[in-house]
Amino acid sequence: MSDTMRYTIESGDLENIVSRLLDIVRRLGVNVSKLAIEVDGGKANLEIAVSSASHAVANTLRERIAQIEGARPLPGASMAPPENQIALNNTHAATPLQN
Amino acid sequence: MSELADLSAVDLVDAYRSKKLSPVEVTEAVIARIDASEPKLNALWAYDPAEARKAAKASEERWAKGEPLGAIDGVPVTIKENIATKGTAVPLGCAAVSLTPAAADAPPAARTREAGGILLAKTTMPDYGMLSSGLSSFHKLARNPWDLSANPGGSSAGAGAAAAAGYGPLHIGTDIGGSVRLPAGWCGIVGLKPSAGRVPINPPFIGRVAGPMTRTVADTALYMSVLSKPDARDTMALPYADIPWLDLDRDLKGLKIGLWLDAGFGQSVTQETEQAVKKAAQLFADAGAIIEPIGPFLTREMIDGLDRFWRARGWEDVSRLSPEKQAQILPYIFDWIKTAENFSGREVYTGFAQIDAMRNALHAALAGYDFILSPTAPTASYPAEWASPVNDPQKPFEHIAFTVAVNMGGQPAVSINCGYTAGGLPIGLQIIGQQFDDIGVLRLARAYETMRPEQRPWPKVA
Repeated sequence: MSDTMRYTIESGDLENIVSRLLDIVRRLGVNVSKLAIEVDGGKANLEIAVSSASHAVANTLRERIAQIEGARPLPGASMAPPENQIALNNTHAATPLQN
Repeated sequence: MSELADLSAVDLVDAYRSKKLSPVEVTEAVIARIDASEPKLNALWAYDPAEARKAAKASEERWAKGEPLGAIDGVPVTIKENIATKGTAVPLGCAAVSLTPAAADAPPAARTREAGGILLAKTTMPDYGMLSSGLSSFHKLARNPWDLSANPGGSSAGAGAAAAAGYGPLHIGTDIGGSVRLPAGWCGIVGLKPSAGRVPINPPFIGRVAGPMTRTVADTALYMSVLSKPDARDTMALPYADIPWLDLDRDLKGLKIGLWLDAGFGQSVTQETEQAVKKAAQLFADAGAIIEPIGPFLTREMIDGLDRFWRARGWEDVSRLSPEKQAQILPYIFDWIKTAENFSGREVYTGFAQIDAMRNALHAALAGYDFILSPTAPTASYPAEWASPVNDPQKPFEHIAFTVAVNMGGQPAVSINCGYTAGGLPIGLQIIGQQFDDIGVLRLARAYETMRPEQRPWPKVA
């Protein structure tokens, strides 16, 4: 299964963006199936797709990419479930109400 | 020979037994070290050299008769100020807290005195222990002995600074998200977060432990032999176990160790820290351990949920204070806690539930491994005046990813120095063990202590 993420980055420094991305991907050991970066003046659009990444690894990848200066996620990418959904799932899995 | 103030507790007890040294001369040496360094370091509160001298004299008499009280008789000790000692107020690092003398010693203080430890002083902490920093509305700004412009970390800030500066060999801190291990890592010392309930404390709370902060693994083990003794006041304590704390040798061959370099949320690990931890892992591999990388297993939802619960817990206390008292709290802490004012019950409960999620995630990650190695913190220390490495009250826990899961999981974990940044600041290696395997993490830390490259001399502050 592939997980696609899209970002806009307030930076035209392609070399820095690529270097940061490669570092993130290398550290997480994810399998990248697509990578596209378009620079337009002082702004860049990034699309990255990873395959066979666990929920935790995909979330970490999102977190790390969002830490690139000026990066913001774009709508339309496949996203993690909303936080409250995860929290409720975890709640039910971990502490069912019982006497 | 080392200066007396720099001797380990193990060496001191040997020297007392063989009558080569007296607790009186050692205590005097430590007092001289403190008097010279403390104006710059600000690690101590309720410093009482007169009482320490009296206690040292009594210890000297016991040793002369060959009747020491316990395993640390005559050894200088500091205790974090949130661990109550009879007759001394417990300010919790916060100017809004009333200074009422404590009615009794809390369990770690009681065990320390019963074993003959010489209490020199309490050590400083930030407001309510909720910062990994030496910044406090009540205490002076604590600093890092390796670089006085750097932060010692926290919340056991004074304890970390005091251990690195040689204010005697034994110090004790408390840890609910990393408060022993983070300052240990940033100050280059050994800091143990024992298994939940291994060291009786009062009050007990989810994730909260007390643990030794020392310069050597053997000293941490020696202090654990004292602190782990039972105390009925801790309603969450483990049953007492007679653990061979000083039996620290072990063969590393065949041990399966996970190497965890990205927690899953929070700050990225710096290159310097990653390299130092990888080098440490290589030493374990060279000694016959099997090292396998572990991917991230914590999530943003987990820490954000725990953050909500902690804010709500803080607001429950702080909202009861008068506006005048609230104004005395460190603004960073107040601004953080106040956001809980309008939390719904659902928001708080789903946050609380992330404790289970975090515990389950760490237990699952540890399955199949004897131990996990990780950085103690993603980065080395940061400016002394900052409240955290990110210094933003709305992003308060970006630096505790590697440590906090172990509090929620209940496992033992130790931080030990594994290198230095280009600027000379220490880098901490965290060793996480299976639940209740406190002696296991100490044995692994001891093995690493003997394998690692020679350490830099301890910093001289004076």
